[in-house]
Amino acid sequence: MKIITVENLNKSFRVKTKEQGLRGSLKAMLSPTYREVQAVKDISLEVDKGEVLAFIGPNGAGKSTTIKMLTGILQPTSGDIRVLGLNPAIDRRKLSYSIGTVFGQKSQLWFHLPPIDSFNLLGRIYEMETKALSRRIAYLTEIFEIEELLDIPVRKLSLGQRIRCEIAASLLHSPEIVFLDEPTIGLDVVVKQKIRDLIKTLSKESQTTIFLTSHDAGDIEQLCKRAIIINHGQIVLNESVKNLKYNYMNQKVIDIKYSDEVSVEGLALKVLKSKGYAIKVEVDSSDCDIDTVVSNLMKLGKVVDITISDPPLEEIISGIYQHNSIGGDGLA
Amino acid sequence: MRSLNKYFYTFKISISNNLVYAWNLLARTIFFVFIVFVMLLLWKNIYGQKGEIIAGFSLNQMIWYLTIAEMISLSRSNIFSEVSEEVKKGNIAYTINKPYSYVFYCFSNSMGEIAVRLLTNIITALVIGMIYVGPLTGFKVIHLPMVIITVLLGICINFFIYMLLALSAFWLEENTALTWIYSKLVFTLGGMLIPLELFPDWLEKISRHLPFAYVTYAPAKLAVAYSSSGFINTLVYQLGYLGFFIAVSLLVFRRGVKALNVNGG
Repeated sequence: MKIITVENLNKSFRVKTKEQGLRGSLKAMLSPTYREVQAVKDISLEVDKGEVLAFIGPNGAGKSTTIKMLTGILQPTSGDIRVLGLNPAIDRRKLSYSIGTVFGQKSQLWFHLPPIDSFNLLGRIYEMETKALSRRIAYLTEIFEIEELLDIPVRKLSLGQRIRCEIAASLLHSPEIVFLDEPTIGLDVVVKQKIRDLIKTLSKESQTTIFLTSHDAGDIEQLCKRAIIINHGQIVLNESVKNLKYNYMNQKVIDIKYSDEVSVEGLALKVLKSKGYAIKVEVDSSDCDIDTVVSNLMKLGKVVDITISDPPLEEIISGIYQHNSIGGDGLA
Repeated sequence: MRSLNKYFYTFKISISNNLVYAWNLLARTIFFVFIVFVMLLLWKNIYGQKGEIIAGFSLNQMIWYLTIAEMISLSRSNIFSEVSEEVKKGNIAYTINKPYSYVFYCFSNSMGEIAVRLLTNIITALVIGMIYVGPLTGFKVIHLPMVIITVLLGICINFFIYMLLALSAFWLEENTALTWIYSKLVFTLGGMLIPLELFPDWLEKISRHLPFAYVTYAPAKLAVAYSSSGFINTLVYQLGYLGFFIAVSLLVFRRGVKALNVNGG
């Protein structure tokens, strides 16, 4: 069952412009000039019930603008949106009973009060019954492991603790769809992993549809079956994470430091940087085994430090562009 | 029932939240004591030269009148700057996607803040009045409920005017001038500096029809010189203006959301 359908969605903003300097300021006062900025261009997509979808793209790609239109906060310039059978721009309030939102950088908890107060208030706002609310709070505090945090003022919580409370807060009214906008932003690796596990549990246990935006490739790899990549307001790619991983996210970057100088001559590797003690190589995991590469590298000398990382999303996107343009020319 | 309960609960939570700012309240209280003290010096001087009664007010009534007007004006929330900032920075996107009326949510939230302030201001006002000029002459406890009603209505009108001015941020990049003008209008035409009776005739007549007088002047006047006709007249004007500003705020909010442009992302 399709729970979200979007057809030919467009959103453009009118942005006031000003020429440089004082002269420009005076001119802008007398005759303001505007420029149309198209934040979202002709986006169409569908989301199934219970699906975990990644909606990814670099900063300013139009992710949040799209979420804001899906939740009814912004009016589309043109195009058609159906969320749970409703038009968000018209039925914003009705829709808000069945959706939950978490914006990583914004808090919905009262800063000076403990989370439990905010939970109780949100329960009232969503018109829940007192008994159902306390049962739900008990359930969520257990899976989010926040029992000990409930009576501490939010301002005293760490970011990781706060985000766990934020996500729990957005789930109080058992929404059918949860929009998570950059839920792992600014978190350290361990906490990030914890949040990911929670999201996984959530989607498995309650069949909640999750619409996740992130610019962290790790979030997508672990959580989602399908990913939609957008850039400059347009959909660049809409396919399964499995394919995405196989085709575009197969590059791993290995940073390795040795206690002595080593030479990488003779190893069939793409060396990005080699400074004697420190080496940076790129590995294509689709045609060679990371395991073998790492053990070969280990044999070169005494290793002091090693990190394996994904290339940033921007690189993956430029890889997709290259791939597509080559494909279009019929060279691939 | 449950749809009203959410606003009442917001009010309750807001009270707890505002108890955190106890020190902030103390600073305001000191300002209150000081401003009325300056007025006391001024009016003592004027009464010394002009006689016992000025425009129907004795010195005792005048000081109580000014104290109560000041008390109402100080019992307001930060709604203007909060809502303006939310609109300008686009954070409003995160507060309007809940199943409530944003305007009334802000109202309940502000009322929590105002309740805490009003309570401390009432105590301060009583102490100031007693110390500066003694008990209010001719005051009857039986009039108290009516006075309280008009004080609360004045506070509500004040809130919705600030709300309306704040919502102008949907269209204006800089709207602080509006609240500056409004607060000066309440200060003058609302009778916080001198009661309307001291205005020239034509200005007094006009002021009695404007909303500013029903924020501060009318409730304060009722407190020091109660009359049933004065109460009815005040009540009619207050309910009329309150209804008007609620309706306009809701309408402007609805228009504003349609025009909303949230930048970033």
